[in-house]
Amino acid sequence: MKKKILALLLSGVMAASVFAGCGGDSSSAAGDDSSSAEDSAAADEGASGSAEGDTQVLNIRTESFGNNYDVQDMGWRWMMAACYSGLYRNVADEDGEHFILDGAESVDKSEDGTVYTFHLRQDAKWSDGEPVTAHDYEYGWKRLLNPEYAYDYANFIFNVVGAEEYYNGEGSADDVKAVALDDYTFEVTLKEADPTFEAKLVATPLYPTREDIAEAAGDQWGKDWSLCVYNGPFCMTNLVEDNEMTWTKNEYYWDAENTHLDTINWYLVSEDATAATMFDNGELDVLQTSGDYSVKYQDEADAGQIQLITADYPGTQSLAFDFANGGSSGLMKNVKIRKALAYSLNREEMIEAVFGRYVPAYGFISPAITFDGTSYREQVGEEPMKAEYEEYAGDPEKLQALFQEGLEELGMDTDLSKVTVTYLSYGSTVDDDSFREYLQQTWQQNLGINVELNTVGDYSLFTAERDAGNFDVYYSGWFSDYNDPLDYLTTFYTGKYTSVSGNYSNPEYDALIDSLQGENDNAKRLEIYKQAEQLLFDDCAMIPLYYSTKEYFLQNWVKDFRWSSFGASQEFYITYIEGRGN
Amino acid sequence: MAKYIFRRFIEMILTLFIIATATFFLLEAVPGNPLTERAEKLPAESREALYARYGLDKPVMERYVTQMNNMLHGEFGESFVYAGQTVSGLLHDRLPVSARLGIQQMLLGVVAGLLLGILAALKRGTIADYFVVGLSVLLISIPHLVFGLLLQKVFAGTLQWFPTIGWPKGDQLWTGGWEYTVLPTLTGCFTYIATYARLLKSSMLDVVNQDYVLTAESKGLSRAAVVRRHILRNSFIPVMTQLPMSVAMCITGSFFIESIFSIPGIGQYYVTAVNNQDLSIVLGLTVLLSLLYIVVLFITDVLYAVVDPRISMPGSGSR
Amino acid sequence: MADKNMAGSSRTQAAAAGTEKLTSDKFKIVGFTQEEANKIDRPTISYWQDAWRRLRKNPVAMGALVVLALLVVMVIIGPHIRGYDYINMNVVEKNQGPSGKYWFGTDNLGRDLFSRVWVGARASVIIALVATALKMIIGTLYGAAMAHFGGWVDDIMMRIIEVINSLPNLLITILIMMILGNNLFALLVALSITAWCNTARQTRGLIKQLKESEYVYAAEVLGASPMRIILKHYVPNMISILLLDASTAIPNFIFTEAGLSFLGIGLTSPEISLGVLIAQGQQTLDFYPTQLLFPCVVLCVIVMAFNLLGDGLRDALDPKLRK
Repeated sequence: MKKKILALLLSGVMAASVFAGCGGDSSSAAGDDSSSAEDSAAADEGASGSAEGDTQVLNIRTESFGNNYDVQDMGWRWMMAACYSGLYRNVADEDGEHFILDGAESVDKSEDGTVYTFHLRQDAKWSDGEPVTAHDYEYGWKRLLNPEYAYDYANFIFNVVGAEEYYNGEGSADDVKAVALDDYTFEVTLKEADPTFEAKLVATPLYPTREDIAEAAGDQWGKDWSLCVYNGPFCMTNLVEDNEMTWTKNEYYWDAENTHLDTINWYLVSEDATAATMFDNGELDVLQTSGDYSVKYQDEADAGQIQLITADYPGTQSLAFDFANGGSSGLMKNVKIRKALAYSLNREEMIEAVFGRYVPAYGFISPAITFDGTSYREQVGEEPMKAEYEEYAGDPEKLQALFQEGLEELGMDTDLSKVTVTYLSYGSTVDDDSFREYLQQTWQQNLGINVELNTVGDYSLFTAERDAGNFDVYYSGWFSDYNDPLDYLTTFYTGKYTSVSGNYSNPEYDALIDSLQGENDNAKRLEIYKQAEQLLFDDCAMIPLYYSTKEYFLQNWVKDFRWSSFGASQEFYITYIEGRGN
Repeated sequence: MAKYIFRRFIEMILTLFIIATATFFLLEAVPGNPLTERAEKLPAESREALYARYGLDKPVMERYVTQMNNMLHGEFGESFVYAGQTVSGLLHDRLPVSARLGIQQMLLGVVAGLLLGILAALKRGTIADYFVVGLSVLLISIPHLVFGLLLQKVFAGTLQWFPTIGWPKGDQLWTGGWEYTVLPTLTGCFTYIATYARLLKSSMLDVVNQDYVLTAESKGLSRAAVVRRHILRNSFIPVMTQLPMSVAMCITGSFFIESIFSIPGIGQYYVTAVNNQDLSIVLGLTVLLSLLYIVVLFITDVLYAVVDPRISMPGSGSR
Repeated sequence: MADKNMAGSSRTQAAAAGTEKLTSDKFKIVGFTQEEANKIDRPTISYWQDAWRRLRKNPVAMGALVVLALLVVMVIIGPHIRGYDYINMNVVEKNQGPSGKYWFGTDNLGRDLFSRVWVGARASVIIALVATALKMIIGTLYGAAMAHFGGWVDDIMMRIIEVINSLPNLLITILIMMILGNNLFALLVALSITAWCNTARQTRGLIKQLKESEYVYAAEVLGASPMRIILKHYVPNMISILLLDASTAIPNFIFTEAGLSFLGIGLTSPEISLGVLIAQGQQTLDFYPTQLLFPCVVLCVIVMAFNLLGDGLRDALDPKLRK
């Protein structure tokens, strides 16, 4: 009994010390809990214009919260990137996407590009006041590789000397050449120079982790936010699952001086209509929305009533084929049939009819991905599917002939009306439904085949149906983790991300990807990337639909809002409020 | 009386046990499990480790026995999805929210519904009657979600009388922050209005034609006295039967309302938990909500037995 | 029940008699024989004829009946009136308001909303009818079994009902849809799984009451066959109650189905019901309110018509309410 009380007391003390950096003053802990009524009251006050100076509170909507606080797991990227910080920070502004130094003050790179020495800021601290040291980075990186935890993103640093061996149980943690030389110097030795290495540094799996805190949390690490300490511009100070979340300025962040916002309130608002009402009322400062609302606010932005930020987002939505079994129809093994399905979709029309935004995709790698400083898409010229697509586009007879050729090759009856293709998907928003019906209609009209919709309620049912093989095609997509075409292309490597590739396997393709290892010449890399992507489309490994974009609507009083494709989707580290209510 | 209560108590325990069992196996029958999404990207060995950590590697019957045993000791276990989330924690944080919302809706809805029901019954066949019937049909046939969004649009959006979303917290949990509760309460009370207006109207019409009403009328009692003393009092019996159902449902029934107005109540969480197949949470909440229902039912039955001598104690009887 | 009616009629006679002075020329000899005295002058009216007569006199109920008849016609021919396909899209003409060409406007894929509303109404009504039939059949059989067997069988069967009733509805519905998948069959199961309990309880109570009633006892004593007792006494007595139950169940199922579509439960595209249409219309409420309005209005009219007809039926079928 006594032990229990002691433990309780201790955890209480710990919790108090954890929050010390976040609150500013001691009364704020109570203030956080007290009420959203208060927060919105503050907002209302601002709106009526009576407040002198602006309260530095930002209200923003989201549609879902994550529940994973383990940076190495990259579970909840946009929260982590705001509450934690790594060596670099990836930020986008009017000038485009770029890195800025964050935890690192300076970086030395060896001539051959294999040794990186990071000199850390000595003023960077965790939210409990402890300094962020090179040991924290070392622990984080080695934790990432620890085979016991089996982190998804361990392969990000397989190129570090000793890393892959440790992960595969063939070496020990001590042999991994990612080491703290002293408290503020972190040195990493690579097996071979890797041009994508720096791009990966902005990803949260390579962020530091506090050994004492993580080990103390044990099993609960990354699951329970109240056990976490933060080293980013903000700290999570309140979370009500399925409802709301509060971030508070982290006074211990090295650049706290330039962080203006005191509080960021996230509201989970499921209906676009509700969010629109709140935005119109000034209850929300930043809004992401879709469909007709997006069109409406675009007009308001044109009229200068609000601000609009649009940016490419490194995500591509696509349809995946069943390569494992050839699908429930058994037809998906044939490339001509796959192509007929891919070419019979008019992406411009689909986007106009169903989504109202986004960019039609005739390739796999998103235009947001840059290579060697400029957009990859611009460097490789025409999108790989475009040429062949245009031969067939809008010509049902040709498309049907192609489909029939495929049937013949399979030795099957060429009567198209006897063919049934099954599309597996989940979700029940208007967009989901419209897309489903659009797809069914288009394929039926253009190809004369039957399309059956296998629609399930949620993701776990979706995976169950998928694993049972009850589909030919399903809705899929890839959102890139770091800024390099390689991240996209790896997904179709045999056995890598089967949920994206649909178990696609092609030795020729795998060989191309393998040949990139150790290749330091950017021109050659570009050539290989291009070949690999083209190969995917010669093989019709998936049906690309559209490239994602980001769209933020901001009230005019929100200043210096930043966004980012690879870190936090939205960056508030220098954002401030000025002139609310004008 | 003591024997009756004892018997009912034993029956309650039995019912709860069956409910828990049914819920457990229903959840088991759903394809996939709460860890599917998390386990999907893990390599085989760590997937097994993950399953082992949550005990999902054991056979169904073994888990069933463990779970039942734990529940006997009042432990429902921890959420599979949200670490550290327990049933008791949920009840502590979220039950008051849902309870206040439910009670406000019910009070307002039942009172308004009963008044409209009386009006319709007394003015039978007049415009007032058809107005009430029309209104109650309208109120139940328009989904909550549509109603809520319309109210939100008009009163929070255009008129800006109330905040769009939110719910009072902290000190205001039970008594303050009324402006936040107005729209959700309104949205939810319509169902009660419709149900109770119709219920009371039809039961009053039944009573109006009873002999004792006739007797009372022929005695020369004033209309008001007849209505008050004979008709109303007797036509409240079906209302009393319906009330416990409403009390029990008012906690979980507000799912859409909680979702539209971002209210951190139990209804929304419950649906999420079911969708996540979060076994321990669903099981715990289901048993507790059922318990609430059964207890309320039990209390009304005992009250009935006390109030109405015609109802004999032992049988659950026909209704 | 019987006594009361007699009391009522004798009272009216008494009231009429008291007003005038009686003279002998007001009387006429109609006959003396036993046979003549027992002759029934007015034609016998069966229970059903009587009920129908009373229903016909109720303008509101008749109005509801006419509306329902119209709805049935519309549900059958409605989708074909305009000659537009309700599934094939026509993206060029999406989200149009009501016009001469599209009476209810078009939806987000440019499909004629008028046709879609009636197709949806058809699905809703069929679902409600089937669910009601299920509820009735299961409920009466279960209830009859309870009443027939009695004792511990009754106890156990009652306990099962109690368990089903105490489980939160939403839980059962969602779980069933997860287990059985999102399809029509699962939807019907989800809708009727809790609904039959009430019918079963009612049937049980009713049969128990009838078993004990004097006229059934009398019929038995007079040597009526069990078949005759069932047909002449049980069925007519129960059917009015069950009819009422059904008339409230149908609109209930219609809007429950509509509510479930908001959870993404029920029919999946391209199948549509009124609920699906409302759920879709709600999401574009701010921009194209008519896409929500029309299905909502049709839903309300259907539900209201069933409700008013139900009220009328109740008045007509219940001898206590005879005026």
